[in-house]
Amino acid sequence: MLGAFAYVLATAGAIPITMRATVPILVAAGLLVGFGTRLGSGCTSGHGLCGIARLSKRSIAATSVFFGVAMLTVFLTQPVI
Amino acid sequence: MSRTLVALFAGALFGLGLAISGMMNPAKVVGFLDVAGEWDPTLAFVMGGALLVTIPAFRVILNRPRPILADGFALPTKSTLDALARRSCAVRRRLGVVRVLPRPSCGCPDHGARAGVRVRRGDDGGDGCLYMVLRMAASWPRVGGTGGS
Repeated sequence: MLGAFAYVLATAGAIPITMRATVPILVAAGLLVGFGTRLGSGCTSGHGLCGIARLSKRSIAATSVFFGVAMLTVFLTQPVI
Repeated sequence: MSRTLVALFAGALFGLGLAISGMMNPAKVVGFLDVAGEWDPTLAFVMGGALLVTIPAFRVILNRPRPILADGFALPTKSTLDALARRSCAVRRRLGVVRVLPRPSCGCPDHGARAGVRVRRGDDGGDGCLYMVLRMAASWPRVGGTGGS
């Protein structure tokens, strides 16, 4: 967070941030992320970067699953333009 | 003390990397995941770039007898797929995202030894790539003879 904060300060808030989700949705999503991270024994970086780097089958499976499910979630929740 | 400083530096560097890559913007991340819409694949290069660092670095580091600032490496001990994949498959089944079908009793090759996976919602038949990811992910644990859902 410090690094990101420093970057925001350095770029004088020039980063575009588009937030569509409402606060209750964000809270629910955060809880789901936390639950899934515990259930899957690792987060995006833990499995995706460290686990794959160790060539762990569990991490490769976890990464495929959570990217797949995330893509499906976007597919189901985003309005079709 | 030096452990704290190194952790602070590593965390700040990680956060800086996320900010520079645009991952602070939810719309950017959604764009990467929106494979069926206006897909923005640029975040794949962030992941790829990170792996270009971690894959060789982990090899070098894990070949050392011990870490510089700790007594030993704390690594996951489980290496088999079963528990993890079975559990995530069960959860997805409960959520109604994918459904593992029971093994049919007929002998036709298409319905053979593997449990089939069907995407219940959102599968318009045209999204082969996503379907394949889900199918691969969900077909790992064989639901042999248990009757599936």
